[in-house]
Amino acid sequence: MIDTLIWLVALPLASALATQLLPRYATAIVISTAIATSINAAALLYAVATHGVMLYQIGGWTAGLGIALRADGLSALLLMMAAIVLLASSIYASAYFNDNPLRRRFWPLWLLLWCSLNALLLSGDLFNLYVTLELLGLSAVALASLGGKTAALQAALRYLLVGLLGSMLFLAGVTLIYAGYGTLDLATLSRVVAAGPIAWSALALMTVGLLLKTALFPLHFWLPPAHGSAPAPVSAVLSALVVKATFYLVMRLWLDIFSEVVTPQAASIPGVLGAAAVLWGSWQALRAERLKLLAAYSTVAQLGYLFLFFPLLQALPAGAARDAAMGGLVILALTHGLAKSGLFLAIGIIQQRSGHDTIRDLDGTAQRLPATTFAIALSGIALIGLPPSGAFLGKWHLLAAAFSAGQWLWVVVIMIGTLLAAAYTFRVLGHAFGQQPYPRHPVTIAAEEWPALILSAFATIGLGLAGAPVWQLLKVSL
Amino acid sequence: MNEQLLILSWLLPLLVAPLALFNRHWPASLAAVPALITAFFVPAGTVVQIPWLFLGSHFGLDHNASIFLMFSAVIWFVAGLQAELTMRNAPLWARFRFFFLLAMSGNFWLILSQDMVNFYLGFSLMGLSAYALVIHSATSKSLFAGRVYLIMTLLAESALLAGFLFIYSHTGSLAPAAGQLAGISNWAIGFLILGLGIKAGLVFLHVWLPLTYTAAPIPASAVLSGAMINVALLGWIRYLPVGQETLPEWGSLLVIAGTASIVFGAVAGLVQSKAKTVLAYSSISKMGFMTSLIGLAMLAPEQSEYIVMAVVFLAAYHGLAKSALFLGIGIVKAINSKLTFMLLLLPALVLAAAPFTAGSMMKTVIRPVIDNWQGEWIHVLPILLLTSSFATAMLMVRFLVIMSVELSLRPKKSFSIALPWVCLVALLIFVPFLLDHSFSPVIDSWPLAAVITGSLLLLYIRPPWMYSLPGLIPAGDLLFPMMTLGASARLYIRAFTCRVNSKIKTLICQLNNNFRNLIRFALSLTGGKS
Amino acid sequence: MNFDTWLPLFVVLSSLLPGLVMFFLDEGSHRLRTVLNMSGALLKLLLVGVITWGVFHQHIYETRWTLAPGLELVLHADTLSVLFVILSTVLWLVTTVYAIGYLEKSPHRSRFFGFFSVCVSATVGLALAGNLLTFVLFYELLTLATYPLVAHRGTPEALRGARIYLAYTLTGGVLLFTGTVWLHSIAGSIAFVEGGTLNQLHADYHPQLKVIFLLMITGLGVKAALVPLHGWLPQAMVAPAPVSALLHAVAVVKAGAFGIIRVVYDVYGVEFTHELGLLTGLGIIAAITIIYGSVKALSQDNLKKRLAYSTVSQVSYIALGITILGPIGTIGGIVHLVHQGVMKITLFFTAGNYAETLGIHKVSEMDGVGQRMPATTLAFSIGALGMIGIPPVAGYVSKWYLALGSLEAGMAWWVMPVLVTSSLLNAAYFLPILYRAWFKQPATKWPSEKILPARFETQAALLWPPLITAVLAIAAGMFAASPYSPLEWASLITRREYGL
Repeated sequence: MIDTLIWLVALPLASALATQLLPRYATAIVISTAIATSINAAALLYAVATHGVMLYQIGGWTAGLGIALRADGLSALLLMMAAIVLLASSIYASAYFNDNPLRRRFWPLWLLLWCSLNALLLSGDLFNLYVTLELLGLSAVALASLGGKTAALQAALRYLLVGLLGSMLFLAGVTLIYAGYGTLDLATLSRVVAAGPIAWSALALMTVGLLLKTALFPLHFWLPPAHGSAPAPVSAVLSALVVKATFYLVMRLWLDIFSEVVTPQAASIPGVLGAAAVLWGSWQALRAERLKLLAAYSTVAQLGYLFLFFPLLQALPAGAARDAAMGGLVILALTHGLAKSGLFLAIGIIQQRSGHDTIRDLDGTAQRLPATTFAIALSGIALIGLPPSGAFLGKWHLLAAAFSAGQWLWVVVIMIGTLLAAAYTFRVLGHAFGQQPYPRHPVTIAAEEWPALILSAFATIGLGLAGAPVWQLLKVSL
Repeated sequence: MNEQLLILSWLLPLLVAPLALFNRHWPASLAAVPALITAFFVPAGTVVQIPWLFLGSHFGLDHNASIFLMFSAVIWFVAGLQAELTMRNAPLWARFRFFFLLAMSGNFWLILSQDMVNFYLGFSLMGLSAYALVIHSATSKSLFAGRVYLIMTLLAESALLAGFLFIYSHTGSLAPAAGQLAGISNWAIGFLILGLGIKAGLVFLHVWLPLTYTAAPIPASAVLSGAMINVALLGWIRYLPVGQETLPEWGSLLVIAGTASIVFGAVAGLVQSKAKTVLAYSSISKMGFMTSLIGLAMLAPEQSEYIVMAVVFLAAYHGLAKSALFLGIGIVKAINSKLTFMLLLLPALVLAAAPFTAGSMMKTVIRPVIDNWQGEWIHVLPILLLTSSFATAMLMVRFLVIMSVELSLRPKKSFSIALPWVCLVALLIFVPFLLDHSFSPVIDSWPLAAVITGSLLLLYIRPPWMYSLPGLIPAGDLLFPMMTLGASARLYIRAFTCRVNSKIKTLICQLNNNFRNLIRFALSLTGGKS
Repeated sequence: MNFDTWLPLFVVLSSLLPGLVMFFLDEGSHRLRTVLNMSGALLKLLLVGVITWGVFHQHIYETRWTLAPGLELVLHADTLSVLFVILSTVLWLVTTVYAIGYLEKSPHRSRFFGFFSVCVSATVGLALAGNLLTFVLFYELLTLATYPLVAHRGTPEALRGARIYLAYTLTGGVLLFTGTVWLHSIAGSIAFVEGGTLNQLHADYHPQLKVIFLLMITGLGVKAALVPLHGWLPQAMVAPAPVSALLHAVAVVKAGAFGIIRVVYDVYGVEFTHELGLLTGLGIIAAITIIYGSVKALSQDNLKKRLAYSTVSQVSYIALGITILGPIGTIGGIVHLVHQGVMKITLFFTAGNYAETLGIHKVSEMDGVGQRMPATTLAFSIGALGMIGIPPVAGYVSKWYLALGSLEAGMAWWVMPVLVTSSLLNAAYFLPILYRAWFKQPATKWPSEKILPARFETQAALLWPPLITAVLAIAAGMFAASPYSPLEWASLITRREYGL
């Protein structure tokens, strides 16, 4: 059972090398790796649910000296989400890059990204986190630059610089911690950290670095161009997973390790920024002229929701209410990951078929690709937070927490954000109706449409109706 | 068997109506036969309960209902036959007959129903179907009359429903017994008087009546004036607490309104130039008399038994006579013979209470009331009687004068179409001899004699002012000043709302602009392009 | 696994699953789609029949499913939900037949019928909802499923109408959602219990409860088209006729009205609502809506628009009935839920027939249409007379009970004039149509005659549904006092609601 942990990292890495060595079989290798890793992730999830926290010391070295991999409920859930998204995107990409010379460069980077992502989610100490974060960032930048056009390269370059700056800030924070407490192991740290200048400044440095990478308003400037110009499967993964990985770190730091250190005033900073992100991101998405930009700005807004939880979680006393809110946060993040990747995949289909993604001229394409449009609609429902999506449950708990904590301001932000999300979603969906010729079969391009549909359906129906285990799993923590 | 007949009386016309649309030759007025049989052979006191129908239905035949059904069925039957004989080849005959049957069904339904829902149902079925009869000729005049009729009928229905609601909430029963009605609220009484007063053509509520009677085809006018109008009396007798308690205010209101109707009907009727319109005003006048009798019953509950009897008797003979007159107009116009005109004289004389006619029985019927009357309104009844006699006599003379002028205008048709009408007239003349009331002495008919003498005198002198009278008051009288008033009010209101509207629009426009500027400003702050 | 436990779920799934399958059917597989549609509808009818019988005999049918800690999806059959479920099931069956006939040759049928089924599933789901969360869930789902139906034609007007519809309903949905969460955070999970549960809360919460009530009623009022939240309804009439029929009779406006009933009776409790002083306000808004809708309907020449304003007016009868304290008014409101549905669906079917057969969209084009399409016009007349409140069509029962209830509650001085005025206004905008249709001479040529008379005046699939619903409307009025009639069922609900 323990092996699942190491295989989750090792298999993608090995396959990345294999695709370089055997480029002719690259697609087959990737797909089988994806399936195997997904099964692995599922097995891990099951194991965590039944046995509790999973630990693996590489080489048998204990924590503090060697590299330790460990998985609790949160990381197992995110791993599972990543596996689903990546599996679907891999299938999609195999069709998307069909006959494209980019494929050869794409697959190794793709698997490397997966490897580093898994490693990040499984890492148990701050240094390893830094390394995996760096690795993740670099592979993401390389993937984003695959678009090949000038705009894409510019955006990727900016992404690279931002990523490096963020990593450096993070590293500075890590250094401070090590200087102050002499340990980087998260489990140990959470016991020893005490309020004081060291903890505060370290937390501030790391947080700023991570927020830069997570693209929280107003540090989001790099995200729309980067996500908007990358190839579709890359955009999907960037929006769904890469920013989530850094967000995961923020969560770990604020809600777990430094939770004693954080003051209500401090917690309200991400809250306010999140609120601004919700409003600004949604507004920009509403005004976007291209579909991909819309989706990218929507990511900015959705990330804002996640940060709204911080002041509320800080204000709620430990107990059922806080646990429920925590689950809400996670399920919101999961839903967004699945829905946004589905959305980007669907947009990719439209872009490929019509050669553009200008919303105004969408009529014909949207009507000739009913399944794609349906996928956009499903993911849109999740983005708005309508039932039966997981985001509905997430928003429910967000609102409930706001009411319980008596912080009314967030309620207004959430309401406005929801309406704006509805506005930008249905601005797109309006184009699905018209008198364009209708295809004989609703599904026209199976390999690309099914992944998008399944991801969106997972977010909209699966997580909404069968999301209860999330709360169970979150109880499994370090 | 009796129960089935009771139901069949109103159900048969209803069922036959759609069939009659398809076969224009089938004599559909035979659908009134079960009602005739019920009226004459089913004993009063028969009751049928159908708990699952509507809100729980009671049908039954009490003594009053039996008489109402009797004369109504005769009128519907005769009018129906005459319609078959005279209108069969006219355009839209099928439609006319369809609605004729529906209205017939409604009328019987209402008479036979003992609960308020069925009464209301019959009332509205009758009222709405009659609209189609009124506008049958589709001329602009009849359409106008139809519109006025429809509006007033709907008002009447609403008021009736409201009244019933108040009764139900007081008694808790859809078929309240007479004793339960004591103490019902003033609202109930008010709404009943309003709703049925419209139907009865009480003054001020009567505007639809002359228009409608004039516009409708002859058989329709006959049933409207003979059968349908009397429904109001039945409703009042059944649902007002007549005889249960003394209601001085309502009683005097009815007496006064009734008296006003008598006088107004006479005055406005005398200056009409169309025979049907004269008859219409005569109905207003006659109904006024009956209304004031009901008012008297409310003033003196102990007298109510006799008064109600008188009202029922009066309704019956007025209904029969009036419909005979209306039908007679058609016959006289169609056949153009001295004989028919002579026959037409008979119902006119009956209505004017000539000796040895049903009309002259009125006095003996009402006599016990006059004898036993105590209290302040003691002089009212004889005066009412006298006024009504004069009014009716004058109107009848006016009617005959008009008819005699029209006599020479029409082509001749076969006498056979007059057969049902002749039977009706015969019935009207001979039936009184079978009743156990006695005729009043000949001397009691002196108002009629006076009127005839006066009229002959006038005809002899022919004073010039006499010729300026016809047309002085248009049929529908008060409606026209009211409409002018309404039109100007509407203009004024429209002008007012226009002004308000434009103000609101400017305001919204301004707010809109402000909002837009605000957004533009916000965008310029954030550096976005607008 | 107990059958009783899963029955409510099956009722929802019996239309949901065929709907989901239909999305992926080929456009050409007409027969398979029809089979799916009809078997779903008939199966649902069967299941609902079982539930009806069971609920009458005090059986308990309840499906529970945990969504998250403290959040449960509960489908529960009580008398009130059964009433609404029967209404939607029966009318869905009829409407499906109609829709199959109506959309015979038009494109996007897979999409249409898919959403059509989802729409009904959502309606049934919210009818069976056992708590507020479940209700909100299906309520929003209904919004989503209806949007594609309104936009179906894809014309600029259709898109505009759909956009307006969505803007209104989603805003309402957000308000309802917020209110629901708020209430949850105060009182925990809110199950629908006859008589309500909130009166047990401490008096300190009362101001908050008032605000929550306002939020929720505003949210529900959008769908129930209470003035001034009614703006979407006349716009949404661009939808195809079967959609309008379903929208106006069962699905959307009724969902709002039903929600108001639930909130007032089963969440707050009518007495408690009255104590909070919220009932009269709602009643006045309902009264204003009744009059306003009727007045607006007077001046509409577009037939469907006139019907739409009539819906605005008629649906508020339900709200009015709710606000009349006392069992009789409640019966009136609840029974009108059914009566209005049956009558209005008839009217919209017939309006669709006129448009589809002769191209008639306006009242002014209807001269003499009774001669060309007598059966359709007969159905229309029955619906219209029912709306006015003329017996034996069902409408009079509702009005009778509403007025009587207001008398009992001492509110007659303002309710009665509203009812009478509204009836007269109804007559004023319906009777001229009947006059035109029956009594005027037809124009020499219809606007665009599409279906030439063959055996019937129009396609059989278009003709039977309105005739059936018209018969139902008459039957509901004629047999009001017999067992299992809507009236009797509404009385049963009321007895249980008031604990009589």
